Amino acid sequence: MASYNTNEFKSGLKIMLDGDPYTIVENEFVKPGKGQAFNRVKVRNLKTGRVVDRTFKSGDSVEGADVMEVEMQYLYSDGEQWHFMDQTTYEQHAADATAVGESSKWLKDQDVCQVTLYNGAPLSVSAPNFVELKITQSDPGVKGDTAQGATKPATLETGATVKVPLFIEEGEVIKIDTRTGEYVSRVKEG
Amino acid sequence: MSNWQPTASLTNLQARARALTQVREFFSQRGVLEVETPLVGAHAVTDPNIESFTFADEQAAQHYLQTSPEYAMKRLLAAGVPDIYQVCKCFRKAEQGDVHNPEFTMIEWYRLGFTLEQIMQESVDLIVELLGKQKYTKAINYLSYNDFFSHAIDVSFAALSTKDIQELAIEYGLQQDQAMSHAQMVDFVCAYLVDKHMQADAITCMYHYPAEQAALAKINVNDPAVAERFEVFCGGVELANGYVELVDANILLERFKKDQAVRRSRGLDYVDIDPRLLDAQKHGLPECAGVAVGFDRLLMLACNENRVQHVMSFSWSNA
Repeated sequence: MASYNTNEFKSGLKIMLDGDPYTIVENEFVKPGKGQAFNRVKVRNLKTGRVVDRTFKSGDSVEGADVMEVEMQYLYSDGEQWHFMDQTTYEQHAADATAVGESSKWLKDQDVCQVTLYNGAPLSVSAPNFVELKITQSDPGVKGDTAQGATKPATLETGATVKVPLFIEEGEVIKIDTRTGEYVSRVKEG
Repeated sequence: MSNWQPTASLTNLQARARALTQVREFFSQRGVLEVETPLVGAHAVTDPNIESFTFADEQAAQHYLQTSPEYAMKRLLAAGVPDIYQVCKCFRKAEQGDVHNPEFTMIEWYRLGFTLEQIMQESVDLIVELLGKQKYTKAINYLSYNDFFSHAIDVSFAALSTKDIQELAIEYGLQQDQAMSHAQMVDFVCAYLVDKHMQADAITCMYHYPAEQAALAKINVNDPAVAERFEVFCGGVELANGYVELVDANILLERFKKDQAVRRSRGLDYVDIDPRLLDAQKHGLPECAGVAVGFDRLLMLACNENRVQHVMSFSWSNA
């Protein structure tokens, strides 16, 4: 893997730090008029998601991380692994529960996800920002409860539970923002 | 379409023009003479933390774009020209960021017989005048380098060992895959503390830098561990660097040789010592104090901007 000099630092660059792949979130050039120049960066660990501050002496070089973001179609889960297919090469990849994480709550066959590959293997999976899922179970809204914004829990076909407005019924398809896990709207099925 | 448009707004360009007039009035009222010295010279600074742009002329002789007008101005002083100032372009290689542009404008001046207190005061006067009524002018602090450390981490810089500095550097997130000297770690720790602990809405004059960071400042007569050097910060932004000038030509030569040794150890380009500055100081540099203020940064703060590029007609990215 290529290495990068600090003068090539910019947000989005993937580098190796202490054996883990990181992405640069922010890069700031710092130099006292009469002193050594530094690059102060915020980096996010691609395995844990944690953001940390690090400073490099300007001119130093850092090993690049073999990380790629690839669009993949979700195929199925066998309970232990989640299987995806690269949209362009048709190559299949299996991701474990750590890589899929919270995204597993929203994945439905055929959905296209952003899969981060590290050394060729899935490191993390981001569900599409919006997904449309069917409600498999939800109690009817209590009559007379017309308070603005009142909600009730609903279980989705993927097993996830979200809060929905009282007028939403079992069997309906709804749109959800996966970044917040919130109900967005009802989907009228053609 | 190329990025042909100016990086500064018309309002900021107007502020820049006004500020230049203010600078000239400031020095004119104080009887300081404006001078111009060459931007291109046959010699450059030996400072290991400053890199010059170089080019060859038609006879293939190496030339340098100046990184500051200091040497030429000192030669004028040695020749008997009294109090002088200059507003000029300076160039520093690989210094690019929100508060750095490789080509920038410096205000530099020298005052005969000035003490550290006097030159600090005059620097603050100019800065306050150019900032106008601003959040930064609420308080003006004077703090020694040692006291700044005490204020920030409850320990004076003088009380910190090499090992302490190393531990602080690690604690503050310095990546140390490649070798780093003690001096470089001190720079990192100090820059970190300036960022975290400098009073945000005040002007701070930090003075009595450690003797190892004297640059071309005189060593304090009472305390050989500190130099008659100061910097002015506006919030955490470094605006000025000044000295009660080292006049002794022999000590000057020693410092230049030390710079060259550091350059060698870091694998940096060899830089010849400027013989004309040495000869001028052998002839006799009068006792004086000098300071350089980064004009673009000062203007950036005066215009409430957060990037120097926003007060420059065109910046490095589209020059």
